[in-house]
Amino acid sequence: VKPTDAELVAGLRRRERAAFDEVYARYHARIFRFLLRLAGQREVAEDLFQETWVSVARHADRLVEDTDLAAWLFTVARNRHTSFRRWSVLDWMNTGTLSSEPHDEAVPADRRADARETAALLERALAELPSAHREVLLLVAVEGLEQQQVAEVLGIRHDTLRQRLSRARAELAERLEAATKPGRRVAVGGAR
Amino acid sequence: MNPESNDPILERLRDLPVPPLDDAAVGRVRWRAQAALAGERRLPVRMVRVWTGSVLPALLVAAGLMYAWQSMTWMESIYVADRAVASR
Repeated sequence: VKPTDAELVAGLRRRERAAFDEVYARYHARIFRFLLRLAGQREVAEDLFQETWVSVARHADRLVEDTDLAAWLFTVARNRHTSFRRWSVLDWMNTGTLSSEPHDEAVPADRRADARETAALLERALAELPSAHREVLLLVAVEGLEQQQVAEVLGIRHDTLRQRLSRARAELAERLEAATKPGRRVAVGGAR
Repeated sequence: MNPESNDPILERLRDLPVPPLDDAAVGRVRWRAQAALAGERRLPVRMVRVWTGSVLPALLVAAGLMYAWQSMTWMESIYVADRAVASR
């Protein structure tokens, strides 16, 4: 029987290695995926991934009993990324690094149906969003966190989250539409 | 369940391929985190707080004072002693 998140939190508070290993096994892929799409650069994401887990290990015994494990882990990861951004020119560098397509070319209409191309388009549109919009979409849509958890991770109120999610979704849709219209150029490096 | 679970754009985001992290990197990070978990246990938080909160600042202040005193002594030996020699 796999331990629940609450049991894992209790284990982490006691600094049990078994609990840590289980948390790592359960969440490492999601945390890496979140950081990779948030940072947009693999090398940066790998560094932040390591910092996140070392930070989790160091602060494990400071957890309070009713901590929401998933929300806490994503909060730690987001904080590492926020801290990194303060000291870097990441926003200037990261646009579209997950996509192999050049930015200044509209996607040909005959390739729009291709699933890989669609995914690349979506990755690119996501990478071009302002960080605040990107992270809310990643947490809600990709990671499937409950809105209450996302509000906790971002440190905002629930109604603020709803507004931000709505704006982020609209901006993503707008960018996708612009990218898939033949003859139109993809808006790159928009407002951040 | 999120109310946005039926949103087509969010659905497409959800279906994006998962970028993998190689096993070596996964193992390396786990090993480092486990070391941090074990290391913190050997070094109590209170000891770290005493070190960073009291001992380290005291050492830095002492080093600063010694440096300032030695600088003053050195400058005195150059300028004040030279002036004394010149006035004779």
